Amino acid sequence: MMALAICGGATATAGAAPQRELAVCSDPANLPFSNDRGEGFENRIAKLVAGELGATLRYAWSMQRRGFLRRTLGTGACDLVLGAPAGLQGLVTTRPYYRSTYVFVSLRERGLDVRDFDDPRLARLTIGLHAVGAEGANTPPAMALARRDLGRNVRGYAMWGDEREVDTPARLIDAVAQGDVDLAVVWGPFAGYYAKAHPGRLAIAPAEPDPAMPVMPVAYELAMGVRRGDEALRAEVQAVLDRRRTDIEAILADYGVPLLPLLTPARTDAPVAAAGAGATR
Amino acid sequence: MDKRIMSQRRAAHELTQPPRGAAAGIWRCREALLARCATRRIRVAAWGAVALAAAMGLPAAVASDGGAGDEWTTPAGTVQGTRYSLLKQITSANAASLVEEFAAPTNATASHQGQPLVIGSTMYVVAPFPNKLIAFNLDAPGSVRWTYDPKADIYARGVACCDTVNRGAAYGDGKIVYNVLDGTTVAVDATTGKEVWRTKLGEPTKGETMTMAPLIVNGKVIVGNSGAEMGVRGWVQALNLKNGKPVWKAYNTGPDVDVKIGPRFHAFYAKDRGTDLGATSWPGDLWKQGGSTAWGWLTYDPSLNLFYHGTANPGVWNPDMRRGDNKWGASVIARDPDTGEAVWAYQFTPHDGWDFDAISENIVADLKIDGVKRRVLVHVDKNGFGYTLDAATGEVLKAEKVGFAVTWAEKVNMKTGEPVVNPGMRPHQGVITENICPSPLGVKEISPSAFSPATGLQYIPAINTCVNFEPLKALYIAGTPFMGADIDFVASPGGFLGELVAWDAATGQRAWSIQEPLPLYSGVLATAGNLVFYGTLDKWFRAVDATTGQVVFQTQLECGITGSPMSYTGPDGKQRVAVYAGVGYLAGGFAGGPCPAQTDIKRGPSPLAAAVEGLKLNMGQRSSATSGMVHVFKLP
Repeated sequence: MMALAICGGATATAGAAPQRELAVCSDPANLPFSNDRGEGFENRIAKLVAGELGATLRYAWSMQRRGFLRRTLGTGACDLVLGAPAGLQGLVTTRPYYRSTYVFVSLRERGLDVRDFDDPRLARLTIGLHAVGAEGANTPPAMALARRDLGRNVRGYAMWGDEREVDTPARLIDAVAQGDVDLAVVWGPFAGYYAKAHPGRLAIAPAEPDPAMPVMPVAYELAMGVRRGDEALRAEVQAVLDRRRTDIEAILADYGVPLLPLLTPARTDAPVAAAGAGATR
Repeated sequence: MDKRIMSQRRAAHELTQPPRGAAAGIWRCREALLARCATRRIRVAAWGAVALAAAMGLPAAVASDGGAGDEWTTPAGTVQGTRYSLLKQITSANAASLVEEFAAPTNATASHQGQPLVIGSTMYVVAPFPNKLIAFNLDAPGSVRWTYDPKADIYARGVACCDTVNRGAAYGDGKIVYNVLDGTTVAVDATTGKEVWRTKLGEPTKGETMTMAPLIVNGKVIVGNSGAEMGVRGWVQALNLKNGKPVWKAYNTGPDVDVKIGPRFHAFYAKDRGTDLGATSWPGDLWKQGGSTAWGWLTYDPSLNLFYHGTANPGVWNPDMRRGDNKWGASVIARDPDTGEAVWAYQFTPHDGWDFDAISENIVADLKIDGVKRRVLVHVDKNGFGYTLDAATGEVLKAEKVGFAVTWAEKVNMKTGEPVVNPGMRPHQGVITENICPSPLGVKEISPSAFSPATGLQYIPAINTCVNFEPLKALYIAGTPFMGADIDFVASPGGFLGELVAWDAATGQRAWSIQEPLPLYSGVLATAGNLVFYGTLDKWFRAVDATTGQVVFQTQLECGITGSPMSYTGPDGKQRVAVYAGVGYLAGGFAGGPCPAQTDIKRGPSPLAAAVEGLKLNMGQRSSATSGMVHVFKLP
């Protein structure tokens, strides 16, 4: 890692000095976030950040599953994680650069307009969820449905397919469009992006948080992250995120990411460490 | 009477029982050996078996029911899973003089689980990813005959759940067969090192990997998948040993037709009987992401012609989503190796909510239970109980707490076969639950135990931790944020994190134990020399007296040990004991990090790792090793 003076904005120095490299940790096959062809919104934002830092962009690829941080940031294969929820342990984050939410997805023509987990109609509907979990925990919609004994209504959709399959997360959104399930409850960015394949046909509505589980939010703030101790890079990246906030929001809008107002106020001086909803350490 | 003579006679007695269903030709061969086994030194008898078998055109590698002989041809030394060697040149009396004959690098880092095979004068080592197979020449110790590179898909590296481990190969019909992390099973000619066949079974991009050691029986290679927590659905498959072509496939969740439960199936307990339980014990179709993978050790009883495999936890959905027993997760299933048909099953932990994968080995043994000789399975479960089951029916004959601390359940109801769960010991998201023992590491993890027919004891590498489920923390998988319990591993009462437990599975009681400062992650070897070998994370390789537990030999290696010791006879006729050293990532951060060290990057230690650092163990110098190693010991 290079020691750098923290300036208002780094510019590329031409000539003798070796080209700076920005090594980012990323999933090679997870649109709309990223893929190894640079087609995700995290890829575009990474390019923007690298450009501002006067660095060439280099990727260290790893599937974003259990152990991702250990295999990437932890081994030094890369220095910057492009998306991490505020409060994630094991790294230090910038202030969040976007906030999104789990959403209900349904066919417009059905007029379902379900918004919360206490809606009595849920008991008679098939509900598609991405099959995501770790350490006995699942997504907030899964937890909310489980508490209401609606597990039997759930149809699980894989996040990952075999090598030949692209965009496996799309299958859940396609399933709504095809009528295979009545509803899907899915993390916002997936819905906003994959609904584009079904223009005008899908209704997307933010989910209400489950009042029975206030510690399990449906909306999350996402930030970028660096290794603990890498304050120099964190501050540099933070400066870019602040300065280019409008452009970043435009990229997110381009991908249809459902956006909510950020909770964390912009432009404070204190670095955001491991604090966030639900954590007590 | 001299104990050693008694044990020899017992071994011979086991050999005299005709295996039901065994091919007539093989039985005649075995009969011819019996007189020699009873009266000659085991080594001579074993070589005699090889010569006789060769003369009859049978595979030369014959392991007797009593234990492994001069060679080690299957992961556990015997298909029954005993990890018991008949070799007895090295004994309690002379083990103190053991010296290292050689140590050879594997040129791989990460946890070196598994064990070498030895056939003739060649030792076969499957290294961690990229899963090269190294054939060491035992005529010139340390030198390599050839290395086979399966050209594993690099993509798989990013998708392995826990570590890039491999648990070893099996030998049959002149081939070394093993699983590559990218979901391919390969067969390599044991003489030339050329690939004979490869078959792709697993899909690592789906989260499905293959880390387990295959079992070869009846000309078939039996394998199972890993990845329960990724939403994968568990299965076991058989491949034709000659050409790798799939023969049958059975799932571990879903309707009976998928699980291969049919007219031959009979579960001993009412709780495990019914139609399509692998689907109906789940809400809706959640069994499709029902985990229950078979990533552990496979064992086989030739007389019953049944193989036994455990299944992992019931997959990606949390317990509140999947009300019901969630069959067939956390179970043992007995199957016909020729067809995959399930003959019986027993679910150890219905509706698992503690991560109690039931993938520990089910060792086939003969024990006298309450005065009656029984053919049993001996199984120590992650859930803290040691089970002794009837191998033919799955009846639970004994189920007692092996773990030093087991709090999630009071006992197993012997009439119904169900665990009696203690109130407040089921974790729920957002609810603080403390002092659940054992932790998700289990009282025993994948590291295999050994069973000695001579002492009648099972030797268990045990882990002594509990868990607190604390307020939620942010998690992030595949771009999806959610909240999960902050899981805090803590040492259970007693203060020691590991134990080598000598367990009498006939009575459900401890015979003795050796407390260890760190959890035991190595396998165990028992020998007819009345020895038990095991290794520790703080780099000790130990031999103890199998009867008393007294340490008779120990040496500190360059890295901690997560492999299983095995024994063989070298070309000079002398007994060796071999074990891997090399530790990768382990949950809890034990042992101060990977060794060989992969990185100096600082991470905040888990609370347990911090506690471990305070133990002031003699970990030796920080190792400069750059590769895992195989270490071989012998008498001078």
